[in-house]
Amino acid sequence: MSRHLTYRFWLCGLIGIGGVALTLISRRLEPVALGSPFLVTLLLSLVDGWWRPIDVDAPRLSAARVIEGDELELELDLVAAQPVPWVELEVQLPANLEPTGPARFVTRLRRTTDTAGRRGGRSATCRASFRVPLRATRWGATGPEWAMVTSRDRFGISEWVARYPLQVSVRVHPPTEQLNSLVPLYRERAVTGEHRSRRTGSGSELAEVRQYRWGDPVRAIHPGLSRRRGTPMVAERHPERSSEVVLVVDSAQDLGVDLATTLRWTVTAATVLAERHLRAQDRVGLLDVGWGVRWLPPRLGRRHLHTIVDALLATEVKARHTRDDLHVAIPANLPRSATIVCISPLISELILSALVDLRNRGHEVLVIMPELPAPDDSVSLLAQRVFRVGNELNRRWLLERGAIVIPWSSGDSLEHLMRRVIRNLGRSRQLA
Amino acid sequence: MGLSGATGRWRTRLGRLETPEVLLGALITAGWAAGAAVALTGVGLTATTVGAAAGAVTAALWLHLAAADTGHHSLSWMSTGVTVLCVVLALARRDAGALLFAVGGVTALAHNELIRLSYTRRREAVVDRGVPRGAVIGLVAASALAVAGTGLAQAVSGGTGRSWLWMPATVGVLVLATMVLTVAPVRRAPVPSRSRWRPGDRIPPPPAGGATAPGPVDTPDLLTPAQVPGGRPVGERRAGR
Repeated sequence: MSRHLTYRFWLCGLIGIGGVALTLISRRLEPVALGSPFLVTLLLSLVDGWWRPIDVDAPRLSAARVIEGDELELELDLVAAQPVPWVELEVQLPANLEPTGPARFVTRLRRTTDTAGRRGGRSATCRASFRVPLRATRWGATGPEWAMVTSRDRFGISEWVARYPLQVSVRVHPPTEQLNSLVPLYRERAVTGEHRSRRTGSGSELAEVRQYRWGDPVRAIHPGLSRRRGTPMVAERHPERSSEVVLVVDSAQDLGVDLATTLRWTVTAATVLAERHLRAQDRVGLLDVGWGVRWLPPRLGRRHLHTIVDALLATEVKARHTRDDLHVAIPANLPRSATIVCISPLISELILSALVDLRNRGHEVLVIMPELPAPDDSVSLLAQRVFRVGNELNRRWLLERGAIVIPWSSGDSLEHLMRRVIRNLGRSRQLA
Repeated sequence: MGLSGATGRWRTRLGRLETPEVLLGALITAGWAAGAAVALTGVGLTATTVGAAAGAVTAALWLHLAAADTGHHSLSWMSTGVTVLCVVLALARRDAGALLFAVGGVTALAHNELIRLSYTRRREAVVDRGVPRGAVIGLVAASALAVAGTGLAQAVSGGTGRSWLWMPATVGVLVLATMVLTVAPVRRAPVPSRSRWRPGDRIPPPPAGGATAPGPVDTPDLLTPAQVPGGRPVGERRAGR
């Protein structure tokens, strides 16, 4: 907050006082007559009152969660104890919110009757409400940042300026798709879910048809099959089980411009996978590996989905501070049976080290590698080639250590990608 | 960038200045500049009277438009200063009298006010109609008081040869009256101690440097390796490469 006198104070003062001084020197009325409007302006502004403070009250957003491209509205009130003849309000927005209408207002605050006085009585306050229409342009946990409020007297002689932080936030989700496929079960839990178990038992998917054996329960006999074959037959089924999935998100680097960035792809894929697996009764955890880690242990439920999505939307590339940040600590309570699904362009040393460590602990590691955005013309062909070779080396190095790496090109839908994942996982498990 | 691009940009820029405030301000400043040039005819300051008049008007107009376009305080200073100077030059040689000088001062003040009003519309601002109306009311009040004060001073001391004393005296009385009427009766409410918060008080916002962009409340913060429970650091270089 600051309060000061504007250039008009000095302009009016100089011309007015100059006129008075010239009059005193020249003993003529004309100089002071010329300066008299400026002097009177100064005096009237003093009568009008200087430096009237204004508060920002109840800033609120019309939505707490939106999808990229959606519109929302910021509403806020300006409150003052006395009328203010000249108020300027300007809302400062982050890069992922853009105004679709005016974000700057010049108005005055008039006296209104506020029935909700502090002591229950009627108190007079000056209040004005403003609405700023916004559009969410990019994913993330974001919100309007500041409200710049300036109050002036009627003559523009004095100025009071304050910058209020707006404590409102909105979660902007990247557009996602509905996913049907699941990452195949690696080690099952004893809890019913949607994954088909390799074992047989009570389930819905047929495993095999065989003759009735001694020890089978009588109600396992399939009447239709038994009638057709003329002997007691049993239809065995695969039970549906649930699993544990830990999504590893690479936030060490973000490549690309505007909306075509690897981190956006990562967040989109992780959100869809988390939603799908939680819907399938799987326990889902999140490990965000950047310059430090964020760890959400695997849990079930809708609340956990919200926590994961909020954590994903708050993902950002942090600045690296010290060399110690080059270490990644894998949480000790990461379940042994969890399937690790990592979404990463495989560029950072951090994520590669973390994945190898997870593989060495015996986890099945699946890496979805988003395609890198095309470089612009300023990057030389040699540099592009060196970069591609380095990326390919990283991929092969991980493959040699038993991880499964599936490239994900920008044209592929997630459903299509998941089918490729299922094929690749099946093949690698057969080899194992 | 071709010529058409530059022309288009200038056309857009000038189009933004086609507001009543800017045009009225331009009229005031150009009028006084032309008046000054005409008043100086024959003084011998310039070689050609028409050229000097055109130059003075163009310079004053350019300053005015630049001030209205950019809103820079220094340009507003200069533009109003030039207008005041033109008023002095236009009226001084004619022995116009104090009342006309007061009117000249009013127009110079109006010119400055118009620059200020035109600049409120910057960055597509929504301007409440009451704001310029209030400013114009203030300007009219100040102008009326100044002209009336000058006329009164001239009338009271007409022919005595000491009329110049009346205006400073009027100003002094006005200052005293203002102080008596506004400053003296003000009783300031006791300022509450900032060190102690009381129920119902507004909690002040965090300092500008200390606040960060709002983040999710229920998501974990970034942990360093040492903070991860049971975490085991992994070496920065991979073995076997």
